[in-house]
Amino acid sequence: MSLRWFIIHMSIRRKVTLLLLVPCGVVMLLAVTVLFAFQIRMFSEGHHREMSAVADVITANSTAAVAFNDGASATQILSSLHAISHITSAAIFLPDGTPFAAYGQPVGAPIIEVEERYFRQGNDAFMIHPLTLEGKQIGTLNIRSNYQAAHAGMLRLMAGMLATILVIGSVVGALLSNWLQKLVSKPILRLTSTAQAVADNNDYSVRAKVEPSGELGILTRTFNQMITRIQSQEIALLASQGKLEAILNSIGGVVWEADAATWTVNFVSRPFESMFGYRVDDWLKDRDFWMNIIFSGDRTRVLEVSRQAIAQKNSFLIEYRVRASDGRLVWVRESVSVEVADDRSARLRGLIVDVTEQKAAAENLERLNRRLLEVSRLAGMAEVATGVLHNVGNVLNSVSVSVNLLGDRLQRTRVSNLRRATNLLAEQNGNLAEFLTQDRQGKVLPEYLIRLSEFIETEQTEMQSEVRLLTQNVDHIKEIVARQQNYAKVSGIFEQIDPTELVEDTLRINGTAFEQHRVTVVRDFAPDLPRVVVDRHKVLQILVNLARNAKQALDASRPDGKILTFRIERTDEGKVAIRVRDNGVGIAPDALNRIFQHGFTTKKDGHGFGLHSGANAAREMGGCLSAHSDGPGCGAEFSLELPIAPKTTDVDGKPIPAMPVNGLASGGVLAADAPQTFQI
Amino acid sequence: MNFGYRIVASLAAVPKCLALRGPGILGLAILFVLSLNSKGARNTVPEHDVKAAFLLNFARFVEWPAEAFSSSNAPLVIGVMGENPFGDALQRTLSQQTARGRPITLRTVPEDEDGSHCHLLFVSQNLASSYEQILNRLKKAPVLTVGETAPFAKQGGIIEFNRVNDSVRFDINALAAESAGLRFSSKLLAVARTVLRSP
Repeated sequence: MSLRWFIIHMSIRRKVTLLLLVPCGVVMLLAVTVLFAFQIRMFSEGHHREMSAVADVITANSTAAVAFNDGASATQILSSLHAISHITSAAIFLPDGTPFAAYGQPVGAPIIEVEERYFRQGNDAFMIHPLTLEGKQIGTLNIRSNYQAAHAGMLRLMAGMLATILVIGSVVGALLSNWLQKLVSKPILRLTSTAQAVADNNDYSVRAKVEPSGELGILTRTFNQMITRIQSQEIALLASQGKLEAILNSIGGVVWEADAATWTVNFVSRPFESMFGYRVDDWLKDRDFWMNIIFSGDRTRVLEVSRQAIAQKNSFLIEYRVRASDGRLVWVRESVSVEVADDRSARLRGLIVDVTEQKAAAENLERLNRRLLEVSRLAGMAEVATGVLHNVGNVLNSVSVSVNLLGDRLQRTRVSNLRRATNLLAEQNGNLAEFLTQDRQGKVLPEYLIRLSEFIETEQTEMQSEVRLLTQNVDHIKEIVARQQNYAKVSGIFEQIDPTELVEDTLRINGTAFEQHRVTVVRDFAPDLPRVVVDRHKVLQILVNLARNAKQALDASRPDGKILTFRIERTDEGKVAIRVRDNGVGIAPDALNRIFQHGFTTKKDGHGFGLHSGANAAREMGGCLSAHSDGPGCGAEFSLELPIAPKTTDVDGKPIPAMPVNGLASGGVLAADAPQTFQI
Repeated sequence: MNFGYRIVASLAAVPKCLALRGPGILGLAILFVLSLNSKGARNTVPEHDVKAAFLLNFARFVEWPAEAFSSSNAPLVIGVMGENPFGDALQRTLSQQTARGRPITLRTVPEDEDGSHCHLLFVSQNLASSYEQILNRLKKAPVLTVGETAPFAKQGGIIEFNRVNDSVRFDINALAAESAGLRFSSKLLAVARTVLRSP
């Protein structure tokens, strides 16, 4: 409760009054004090001077009286001193000390002085003044004054006057300051009451009275401008708030906002009521309200997810069930964004959408999907069977060729000739030497036997190689069967293989057929080819299929000049392309469009499966299969693009994952940039 | 009252000199109210000793015109006409004295002379019968004439001694003094018993 505190808490009126009064009072007091001190000092000097002057006058006037020994005149002159109240007595003494004239009470013992002397003794002041005539002292004037009384009187008078001045000054100052302070405080008070009215009633239509000029004029004007701006902003704010609320309420979901630390909710949009049958205030007043209406089976999960997301400052999406006021369970999807301030989760904003219907629909869909999956599985098994039959059939072609060949050979074998030779030798019955040396037949027999054994040897070699091929094909069949047994496991074993090796294997499998049908095979392999990462058997299946298709296309077109070109090169996309080109019948554009579709075929005995499964397999390995033809009679080219083994990968190599493909889905045809080129 | 005046004057920041004028004015006032009455004073000295001192004082309180003196330091001449009643008292009184800075010379003036060479002429009592004649001779001359008995002043003398209650007083014929060109100090006028203004 210091003075400063007291002043600070004063009203502005008091402050201004104080401001005017205090300096005024202090100055006045100071002036009065100085004056008082000055007067006290001046009094003593003034008293001396006055006594001196009085003595001068009295002596001047009484010189003649003394000179002419006129005591009466002198007494008369002295008696004029009664006009000066503080002079109590006076006397003129002759040089010998005899009194000549006197006034008032006895002045005391005569004091004779040659020079004027002023001195104070006790309460009195004395003035001693010589009377001279023509340089000769003819008497001495002694004047006695009651100094103390005069001094006290002066002090009283002074004090009275100064007090009066102070009082009058204060009154005038107070009146003036009261009048002046109004000039300052009145506009401020008016402005204050206006501001108060604005603050109390939130009424921005109120305006302060504008002062004509000065800082207060600026203040009131700017205050009014401010109020006007606030008013227009408030109107705009209300409008946009209304708009925002309308928008929020029109959303088919509940929008809410809460503090991240306390979970106190400060906004919930209106649809909350229609969606769950509770009132908005229920949640606004009780922050746990929402958690309490969450289905008890989901509550823990929602809490955990929310806490974790807030801790990690991540937004999150969660679905759970809420118990509505009528008891039904509502499935909701809630997306909550976490606003981060000062590196800390500060605010949560959520959107709750009723997904009960979607949930039901999703469940339906899932049921349908499951059924579809079962159907698909069955269909898939049929496809697998078709694939197996096709691939096995392809290889079986070669097997049957080999078997026929072996049959032919065995039929045409010279073993019967050997039997005939051995029978001939047996018929000789001990005359073997003679037979061999004398008989015409016997003489050529050894030569014949040698030639026969050579022939048989050659035949055996040929048949052995054919049998080896046969064995290889049978192995291939076994492989196909084994693979199809594990069809669910889509990806097989990936290995890094030289692409030329793949082509050579293909040619080996189809080799006899090409020879029989007089097909010229051209190898056009680019140098320094990288290895590819593929499932060998899948690639072989594709290539064998392509080769067989090409051979059939060539058979259908011309009796001779059949050329089948195998070209291997790198593509711009960083893959290795194996292109199988024939100059056969070619493909019509509309057929080219559908060539990879399941079940499409131009052959009488075709399944319409080979190219389809080949394209799928190529895609599974991360490659693709495409077809190109300039039209019927112009031949066709099939390109199998395969991924290259990464150079950094070690030789054992981690398997390169195949592109995720739904093995059961039917293969689609994707349009490519070239008009007649289709890629899978 | 006086202090009140001064305080007000000081408050009004009036210069000090003005404040000191009060007593001056007061002093003048005192002179004007002086009464001519005088009570008897102890007078043990012989009458003519007093008169001799008075003569010296007259010379001191009267101002002669400048042309009455031959020079600025010419002596002031006091003449005695007729029988000298002072004995050697006058001589004694005047010796070594000055009046307005001038030395004083005492002379005896024969009765047949007009005494115009004197500045102050004392006409003795024994010439009372010829006062008029003597005074007529000196008309307009700057000579302060002093007589001892009536009707000296009435007949044109300037100062006339008389006795009041055994003390020596004097009357002044101001008109005569004026026509003689003499100026009396107001202080002298104040202690005179009577001042005659008209014949």
